[in-house]
Amino acid sequence: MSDAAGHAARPSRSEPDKASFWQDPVRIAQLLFPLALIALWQILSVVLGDFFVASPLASLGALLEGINDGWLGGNASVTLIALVYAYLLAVGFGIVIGFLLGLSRFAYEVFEPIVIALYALPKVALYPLFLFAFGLGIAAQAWFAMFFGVFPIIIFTMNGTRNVSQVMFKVARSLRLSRLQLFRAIVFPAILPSLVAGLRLGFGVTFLGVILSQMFAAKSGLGFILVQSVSLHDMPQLYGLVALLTLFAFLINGAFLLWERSLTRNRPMQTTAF
Amino acid sequence: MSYAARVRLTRWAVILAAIATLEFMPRLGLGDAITLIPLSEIVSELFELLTEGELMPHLLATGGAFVLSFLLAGVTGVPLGYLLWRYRPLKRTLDPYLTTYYAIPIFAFYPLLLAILGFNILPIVAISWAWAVVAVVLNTSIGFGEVPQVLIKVGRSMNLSRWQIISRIFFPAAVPYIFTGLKLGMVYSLIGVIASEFVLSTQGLGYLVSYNYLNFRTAAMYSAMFVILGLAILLNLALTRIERRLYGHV
Repeated sequence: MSDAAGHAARPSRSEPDKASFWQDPVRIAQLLFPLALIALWQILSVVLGDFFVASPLASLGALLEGINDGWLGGNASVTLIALVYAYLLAVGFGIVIGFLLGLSRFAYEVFEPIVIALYALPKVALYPLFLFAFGLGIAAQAWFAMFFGVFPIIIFTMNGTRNVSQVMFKVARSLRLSRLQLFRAIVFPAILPSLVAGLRLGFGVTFLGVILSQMFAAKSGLGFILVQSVSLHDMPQLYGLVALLTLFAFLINGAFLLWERSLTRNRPMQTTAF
Repeated sequence: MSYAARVRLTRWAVILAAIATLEFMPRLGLGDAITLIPLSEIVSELFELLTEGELMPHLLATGGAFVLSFLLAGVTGVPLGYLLWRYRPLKRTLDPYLTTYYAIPIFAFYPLLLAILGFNILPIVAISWAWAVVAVVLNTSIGFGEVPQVLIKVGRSMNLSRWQIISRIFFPAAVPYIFTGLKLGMVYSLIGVIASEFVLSTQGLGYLVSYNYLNFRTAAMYSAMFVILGLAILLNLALTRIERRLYGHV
């Protein structure tokens, strides 16, 4: 079997079957790792006292209380709306710009260093510009977070497009594919794995952008509540929120990783550091 | 004109066009006169801030936190990366968590560190270190893993001691990867410092931006932004230079 991108399938690597899953100590250690973190958290809360570290149970209690009182749901939905808004923008702009830059060698070579440099700049400090342009509120947060998240998506789409090998285009020409067919049957499947990697990284950075923006001059959202709980010194609420945000990011990233793996299973290994 | 020269020329044209837009958009009355200020006025404001000495303490605060957090990330990250490579089960156990690390909004931990360590340089250094160190760890462990077997065999055949193999073979062979890690670490720790100063702190360039924004001192705010961007661009240029000198043009 070979997939649309033309990579011949390698003989499947010996994947651990279900029976041996529980015999692999690494798997068990992986599952235990989050528990170890929670245990460490509990120990720290005992050692340092609840003025500095709220216990896991107290933090969970604060979150449950937040659900009952409604502040958690309200602020979480503000964050979620901003996140979805920002991510849609980032994905739209990122894929289109990345694809266009990847198509032309000249455009790629002109813009690649600029895009990389913009990615590496501390863009946080530019947030007031977005406040000027969009006013206080969700729009400014979303466009700012998009400005964070769009770069990984551009970079990965661009590189993915550039790496579609010329042979495939020749095959398409010899098969007399139309432009649409060329895109659907050849270009898109070839780009998809790096696109998904870009979407995953882009999501993480967009999420960070939303939280960051809500920490500054905002009146609602989880970032705002985080900062507020510092000034109120509400430790259970603070720790609960940090744990919630971490868990949320971890789960979404895990879903993206599974998607990535299902796409790259039959392809030669690509190493992405992170 | 050669192809490479054409590429470079177009790139500079794009950059200059962007800068010209910043200068002329406000002059032509496009956009709000209060919020958009011509580039030249920002630059003159910047000189004023510099000569009055208003900028210096913030520059020092940011620089200090940046250098400190980056050095910490290097000093802790490289040995941790080595340990991770040395003990394979450890690496295999932590791999899924390490790849997820940068998906987590690490910055959410900043308020938490503030609450523990207080309003000073410590939480800023700590969060920037946390942001930077994992890039160093990951790249170091990848670097040691990519050392060609041939080199190790050569070392063994020459009867090198264990320490000699590490210092003479593994380390030099892994340097390009470690350098990439340190480069990322440097970028991340600068971003971490600026972000934490901007959101909640009492000094530094990031603080200067937010302070001037909140007090409607727009020109001063822009000049602080310019200092930040300028420093970051200089840092990136220097890193690319060093990289090119070390490994030739990539």
